[in-house]
Amino acid sequence: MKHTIPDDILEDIFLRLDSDVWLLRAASTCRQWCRVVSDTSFHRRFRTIHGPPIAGVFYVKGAEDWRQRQWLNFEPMPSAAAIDDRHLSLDFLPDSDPTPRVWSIRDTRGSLLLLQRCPEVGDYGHPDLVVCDPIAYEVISTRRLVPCRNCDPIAYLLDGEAAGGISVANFRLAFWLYSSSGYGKPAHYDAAVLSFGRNHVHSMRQISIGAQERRSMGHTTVAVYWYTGQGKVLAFDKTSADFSCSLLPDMEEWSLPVGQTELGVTAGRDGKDRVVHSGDGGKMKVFVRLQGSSGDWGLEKIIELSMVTCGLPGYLPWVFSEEPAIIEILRSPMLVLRLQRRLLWYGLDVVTGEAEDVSGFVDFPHPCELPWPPRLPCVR
Amino acid sequence: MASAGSGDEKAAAAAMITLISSDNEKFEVTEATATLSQTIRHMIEDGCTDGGVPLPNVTSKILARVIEYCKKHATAAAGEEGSSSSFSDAAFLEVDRAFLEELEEFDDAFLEVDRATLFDLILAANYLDIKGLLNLTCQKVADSVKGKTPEQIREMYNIVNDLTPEEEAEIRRETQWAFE
Repeated sequence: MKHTIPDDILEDIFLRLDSDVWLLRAASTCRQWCRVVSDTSFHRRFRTIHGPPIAGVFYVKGAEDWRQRQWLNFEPMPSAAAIDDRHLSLDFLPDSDPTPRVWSIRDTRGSLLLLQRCPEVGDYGHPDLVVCDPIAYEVISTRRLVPCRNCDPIAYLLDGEAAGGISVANFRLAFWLYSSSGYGKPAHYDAAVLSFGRNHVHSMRQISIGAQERRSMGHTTVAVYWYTGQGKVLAFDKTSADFSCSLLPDMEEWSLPVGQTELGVTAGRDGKDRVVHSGDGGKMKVFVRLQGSSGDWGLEKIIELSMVTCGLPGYLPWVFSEEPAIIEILRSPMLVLRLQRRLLWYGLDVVTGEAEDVSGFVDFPHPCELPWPPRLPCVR
Repeated sequence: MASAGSGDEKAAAAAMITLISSDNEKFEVTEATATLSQTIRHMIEDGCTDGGVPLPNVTSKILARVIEYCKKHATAAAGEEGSSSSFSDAAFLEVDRAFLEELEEFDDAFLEVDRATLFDLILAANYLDIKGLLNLTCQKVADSVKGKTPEQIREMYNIVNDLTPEEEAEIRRETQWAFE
């Protein structure tokens, strides 16, 4: 007797698998199972239930200065425990053997890592940047392609030009280039986007982003953000590689010079980006994008920092009146606030409004994902 | 409503339904047991259960197991309803917990079947639309797949590998990390 389970029940069963490893093994059992796992609507449902396919998080110890040689620690997620440790030990990188490592992490996106070789003393010239996929053991050197002779380039990984997210065969690198004034030209900002396709074929696009003064607000998985004054936000989308402008609601503080406005951006637990403003008297304003197509921001809430940090180490009712807290960006969902005078560090979750003591924090977490969606053959 | 309806309810609980398996075996069950199946509940509502309910997709062997499950869970449901008014809260919670524990033990023992039976139970639970049983059996399959290689899964569930060697090689090549 043949026991064929209908596709919708198989889907129900597969949605209960808590690791991508078990899912892929099930997919290679037979045609029907493979077909159910390759379905795009199944992919959406699977990720809605299990969250992003995070293999684990790289921590950099002692990251005050990325140029120093560092120890990269990897902490796997329980759902990825079935994956061989070798992948994430990064031992396939050139010269990776001596510890502390010569490679530092500059950015991560999807399953890709952007790494840079720590420069030797007196080392000038093109930064040695590589993009690698630890799961696929692939490394692509971009040294000769980096459009600047600056050993500290600001670079981010973006989704590829072709649809379907990011992979070694489909990704882009964005660089921010700054030219100081001279030869009768004002200081100028440019961006360069380097696109990679299959077989490492690449192309370069330069974008002028004007001479306007700007302040970096940090980045999330959605976009890179700057504040350009007068309540204006400039965003660079990490999926489309396009710029867009949006407005924060009218506030007195926007009349201050760009450099004096304490602003940052963070991704909340709910996946939505937020702009946060740290003002006088310990009031933190949280802005979220309004419904509708304008993309402008509306005030979501005001967090009284002295209330949420009450009882934490170093807490004094007036610490936030002495100076506005400096926003140090950490990856979602925590935002780190620094009080310079008293050397206090507080972590804040802007969605729940919960704060914790993170003094002496030295770990910058870089999440690394498993390749997704799975590349399976088309079977009928 | 409670006093007026109690007589009818007793009558309804005692009403018997005949289920007929694909191999023509007849099973007498109470309506309370049978209505755990949404499919049968709709048939009863439509008044088309006279002369028995033919279930051409379910063999007598599987139907006997399904009825065993429904009887247990129908009693548990009735017990919970009956106890809510007649016990104090603490006593009720105590009884409630005992019920749940007993039910869990029953479910665990119920799932101790060979893999072919498990697949048949899933198909029957789907056809008869019994949410609890479908949930239980699907979770059992998911748990049994975890940590196994494709070869072990095929052997366990008697699955014929109909992927071409090329397709299989492609999966291995693209997702090597999942097979180490």
